[in-house]
Amino acid sequence: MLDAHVLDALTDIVGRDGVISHTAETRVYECDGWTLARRAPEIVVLPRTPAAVAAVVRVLYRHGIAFVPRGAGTGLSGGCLPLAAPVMICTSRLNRIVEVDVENRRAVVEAGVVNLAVSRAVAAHGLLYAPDPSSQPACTIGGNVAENSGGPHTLKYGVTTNHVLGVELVLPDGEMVELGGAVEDVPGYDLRGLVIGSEGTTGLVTRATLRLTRTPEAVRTLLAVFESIDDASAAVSGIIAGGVVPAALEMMDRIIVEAVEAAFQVGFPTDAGAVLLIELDGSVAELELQAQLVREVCLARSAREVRQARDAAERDELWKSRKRAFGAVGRLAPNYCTQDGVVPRTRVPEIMRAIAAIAARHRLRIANVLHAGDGNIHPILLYDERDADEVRRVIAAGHDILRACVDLGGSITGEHGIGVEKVQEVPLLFGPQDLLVMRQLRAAFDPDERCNPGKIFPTPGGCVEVGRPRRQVAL
Amino acid sequence: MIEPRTDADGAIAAFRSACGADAVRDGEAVWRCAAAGAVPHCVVEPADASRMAAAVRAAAAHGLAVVATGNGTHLGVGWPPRRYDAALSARRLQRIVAHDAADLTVTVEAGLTLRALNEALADAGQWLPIDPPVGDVMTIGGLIAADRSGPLRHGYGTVRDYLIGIRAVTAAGEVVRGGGQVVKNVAGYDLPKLLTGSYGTLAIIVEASFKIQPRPAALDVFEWKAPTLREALERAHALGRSAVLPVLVEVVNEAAAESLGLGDEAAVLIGCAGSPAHVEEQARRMDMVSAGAATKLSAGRGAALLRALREFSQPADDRAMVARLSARPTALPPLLDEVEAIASAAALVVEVAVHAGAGVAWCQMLGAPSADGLRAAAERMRAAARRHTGWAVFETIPGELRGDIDPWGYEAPALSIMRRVKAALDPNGCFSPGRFVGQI
Repeated sequence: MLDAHVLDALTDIVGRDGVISHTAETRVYECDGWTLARRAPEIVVLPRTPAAVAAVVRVLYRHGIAFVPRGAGTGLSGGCLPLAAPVMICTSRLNRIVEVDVENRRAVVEAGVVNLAVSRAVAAHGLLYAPDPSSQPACTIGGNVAENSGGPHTLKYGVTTNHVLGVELVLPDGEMVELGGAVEDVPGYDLRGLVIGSEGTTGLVTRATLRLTRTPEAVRTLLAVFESIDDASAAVSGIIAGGVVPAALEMMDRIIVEAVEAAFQVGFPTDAGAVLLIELDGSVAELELQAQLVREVCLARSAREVRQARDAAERDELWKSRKRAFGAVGRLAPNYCTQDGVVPRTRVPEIMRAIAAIAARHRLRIANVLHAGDGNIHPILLYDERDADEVRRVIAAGHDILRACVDLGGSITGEHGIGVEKVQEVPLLFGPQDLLVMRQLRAAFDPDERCNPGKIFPTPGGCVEVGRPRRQVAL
Repeated sequence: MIEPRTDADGAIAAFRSACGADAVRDGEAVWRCAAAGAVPHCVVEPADASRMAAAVRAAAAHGLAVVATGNGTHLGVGWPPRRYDAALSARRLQRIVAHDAADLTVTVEAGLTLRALNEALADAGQWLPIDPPVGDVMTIGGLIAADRSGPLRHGYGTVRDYLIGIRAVTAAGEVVRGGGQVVKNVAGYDLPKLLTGSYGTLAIIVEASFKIQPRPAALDVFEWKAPTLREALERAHALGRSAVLPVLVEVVNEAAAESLGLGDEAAVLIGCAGSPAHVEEQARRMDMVSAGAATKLSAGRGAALLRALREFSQPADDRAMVARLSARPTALPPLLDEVEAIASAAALVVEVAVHAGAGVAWCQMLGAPSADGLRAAAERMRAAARRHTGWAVFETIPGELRGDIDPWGYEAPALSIMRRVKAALDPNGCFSPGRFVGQI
């Protein structure tokens, strides 16, 4: 239990309504989007300003108390599960867009600002914030920075680290530093690049300076229906090999197509083996040629049909099928767990075959939505939480899928992070010496492991026991 | 400045036994590896990554200080190292480890030149779209360690946008990796970013993986003259908000225009790349935006001009001082006004070439009447950059001022974490001690 005078000191900083300590309320914070493990923090602190975050952290530092940062809790790897950290610092009240600099295409926002709110705030100026994770109506910029989040359009535009120029970081001792900034080519080490994607283990990011992107002049969205995953994968390779880098290149397998069709009646043939959603953007002159090439490549790979959205409404309609895919999965099973792995894009057919074999071996249904253009797969493992054996098989199958990704030259996470979910799989990718360097770097920021302990690095103390999950949360 | 040398014969013997006699050279070769005026005892060129690691272990065991290099193109940047026993060059590590054209990724050893890499990728119609100076000679390791870029950064970004994986030798002499070979990957800390621009002070890069791009079918260059630098910058800014979609927007002042053979007026130089149809459309738009004032250069002239622009930061005159100023793009016009005024007050010629979209200005200061005058002018330029919340790095410093003026000019609270990062990875100061920001 936290000392009463620590609680008082925190309350002095954030006010009575800024501290949550009642068990009924802390329960809300017991997990993020990865629901296989749950643990509520002792208290949740909700500061309203970066300075208050620093003050809170200083109090915790003086008392040797570890903390875990949390944004909107949409993470998918248990990154904000409070392990060996009694205090959770939630950034949801740090929700100010501090500055929009239209001329220089920069925005300074606080960590709790919702991703989509940034694009909305700058849309009138013909600008947008490019990284677009599926959770963008809810997830925060601070969480995006911690996880180095991606999204469908990162195929062309890059992930969070390519769009964050600077961060304001509260170090685990409460000191505040600015890393990078509104200016490019800042001398010194790229510590901003190191902090982005460090999953909150280097400190707590309170503000970020974002690079804004011009809204593309024109967009073409196509949807191609294939008999098989192999045909669709061959089309992906054909498009890339043809010299076209689409803005997005998404694949859905038969299970997803069926579920989407059952839920939303978008007119998919439910016997299709796979559907590709292809989005091109750029200048009108370029797009006509590229759309033509995409159409030809798809038809040459036996596409049954290729549709092209004629206007924004039709484009939204096509995207709806992709963005709602996870929701539609709710019809298929009481619970599901989304995996996140990466293979070289040419190995997509192989990983899809491997996943089918793993599903058979573990007697599970696995649906697939993937960012096929960059080889980032999202197998969705369907299960029923009331079946303890099935839960165990889901976890084992997830591990097997990640191992298969690594065997094909890929990675265990493309955009969800290691969190607690994949701590066991880290050694598949990195040897002891690689991890030693990362630990040394972590120690340069957080020598006592006070900030988000138990994440990323496999440690005996950090092991999380996966309990029996209770309820599925919406993704 | 430079501490007394360690025993030269001892150092040479240690490296010979670690990576073979043929990998260690002394004599003339050491002069080509002078780092900001400091000269090592020997140059070590290991044949592969494991021998590079052995060389570092030998250095660690004997308490020797080493400077990582490739073909030595950027050894002049930074403070003279506090100690410098050996140059460790990756130049013999030249393999293309993997290039899968359909994956648009490539993995190469650090000693291959950027030019050789891009020649190899050209067969597949691909490239690493980074156009730094001395790219014909500079190695991939140097490209990353010195974070080099050129005019194309406007449309294509910089090294950190393409580097997806890295292998490097730590100060403990271990080969470690970060990132991987896939284009999307968030597993573990982002070592590729940390090592980009670290000037060999944290680890020695031996291999890198990049995502690459299809090569555009056409690249056209346009020239748009302007009466003053300020007017040229404003046109460049307006262009950025127009319908034109350029991959480069460079601005040069009168003095730079003259040395580039563009006449004696300031100018905006614009490049558009893509399919022929796209590029033709951009030409029409350029015509509208500039009211017919921008002219398309012939292919030969455009290519020659791009080459000259790319090499702009490499002075022909060894008394020149070269500064890289960075600021918000909208801060550049007033900042560069001040820079020209400071130069003129100090009776210097300043040639300015600007990556307008990025907010980065390369300034060559020439014809200084005295070293003191040059130093004073440089310090005033740095102060001006800081007032505009920007930075000034002196990339080339004439011999008589080396060690006398801070090349980096970086002072910020983050410096204390940078020191901690350096101490964590290189506790004994084996890698380029004193060379980087804050004489880390």
